[in-house]
Amino acid sequence: MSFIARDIAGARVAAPAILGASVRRRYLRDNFVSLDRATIDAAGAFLVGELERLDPTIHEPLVSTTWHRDIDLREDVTMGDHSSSFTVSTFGSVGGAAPGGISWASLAATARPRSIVAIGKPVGTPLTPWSEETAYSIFDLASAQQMGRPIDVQQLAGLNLKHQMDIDQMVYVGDPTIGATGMLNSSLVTNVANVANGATSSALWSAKTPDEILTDINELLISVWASSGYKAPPTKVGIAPVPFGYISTIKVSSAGNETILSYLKTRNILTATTGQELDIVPMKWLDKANYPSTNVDRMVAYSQDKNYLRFPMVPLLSMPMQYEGVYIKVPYYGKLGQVEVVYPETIGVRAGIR
Amino acid sequence: MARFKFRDGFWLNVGGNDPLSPDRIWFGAGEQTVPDEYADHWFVLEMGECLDVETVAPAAAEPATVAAASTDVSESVPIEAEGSTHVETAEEISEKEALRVEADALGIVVDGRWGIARMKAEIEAKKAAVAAAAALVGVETVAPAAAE
Repeated sequence: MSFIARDIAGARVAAPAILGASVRRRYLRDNFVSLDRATIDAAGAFLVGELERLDPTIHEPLVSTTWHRDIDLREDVTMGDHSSSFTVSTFGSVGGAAPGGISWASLAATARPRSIVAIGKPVGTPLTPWSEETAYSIFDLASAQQMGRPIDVQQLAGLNLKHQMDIDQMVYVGDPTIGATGMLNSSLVTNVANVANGATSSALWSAKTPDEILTDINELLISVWASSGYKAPPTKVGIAPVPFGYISTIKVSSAGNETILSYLKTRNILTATTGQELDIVPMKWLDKANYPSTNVDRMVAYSQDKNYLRFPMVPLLSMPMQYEGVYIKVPYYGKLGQVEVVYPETIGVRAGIR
Repeated sequence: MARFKFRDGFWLNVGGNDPLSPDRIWFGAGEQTVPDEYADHWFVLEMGECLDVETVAPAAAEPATVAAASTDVSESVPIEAEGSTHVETAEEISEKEALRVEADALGIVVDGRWGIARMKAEIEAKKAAVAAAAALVGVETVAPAAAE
């Protein structure tokens, strides 16, 4: 009997997928169906040698999801809602002495300028059902109980991980299959540009001086701040992982021992105006390998505020356990919305840093 | 001119890094006409696909067009557009490098975004300032870089 290699992929890829369909029976040349490791894996069992020390720790796939760090949830949506929406108000007013000026009034005036309000409602975004189930036979369950490795818990962990990965994608870049975009590629955001070239005629940070890199980031911060009418200096900067690693190690000046990253955290428009430290984080979805249709890394600056940017989501719920023959199934269901960019001017994106 | 189809709207940064008065060109989502000097800019190609390839290729390869583009930029923009570096010939790059060395020798802090015209202007201004200072103290001075 021969054994096929363990067929779980994705532990070290940037955006891994859980491959469940690859575990299948293997047909040998003598027309017998093997009961090899791939088959036994369905119950979580392995062949262990007498002098082999098996570590019983369960090592799950390595996956990074950071959406809960980078966006606030809109929690008022329910399972019964089909879409989510919001309103945006526009205020208007005219001046007194001059139409575009201050509302000066005369003592004898009988008519005076008044404030007008227009409330608009952008087209709502759908709340799309998300559902998966855990399913295992009574035999799998019995075998798993005997081995002390609970298959039901493992399946639920896999389901929860998939749920987190899907939310992560929806929050950052959306899903083209349902026409959804995320916070990094929303078509509403127009403050999108390439970074300027440095002294070496290159936009890449690896070819730029620390001063030029600081200029790139400050240009983005001030640009977003100005676009918001100086209301919302960005509170968070997301940078693709490789350039993030670069600025976290390169010294800002040969005269000091501070990195570009640590320097920037405390010396920026946000800290200068509010005293709040700028949050600079790596985002894997800004890497050119993960961002849709791109050849370059990006950085983003925005205000993490539920009033500016949020993600509507109905949390995952479960149905009662269901029996079907020898199988035990538990359906899980929820709803995922699409990122609501209430104020697109509070987001800015720059491309070409790697 | 070349026709492009862009996925989303974007700003093409063609030089400056000033957030309040940026040297940028806006291209909206959908089909847009892109000037020849920007048609092969990496960010234009990144954001969409060229619908009219035949218009783009000869324009980018034609030396006369490259020279004209450089002239236009130097006349209208004090700081040359770095977005046009893609059309710089090897001679232009070496000229730029020579100017950078000369500027360094004169003690000018060169901004990486400066193009040929800006560097020439800065060098001339510096030389004039040196000459004026020398005239004031009655000493005849030769600019070191020029002599070298």
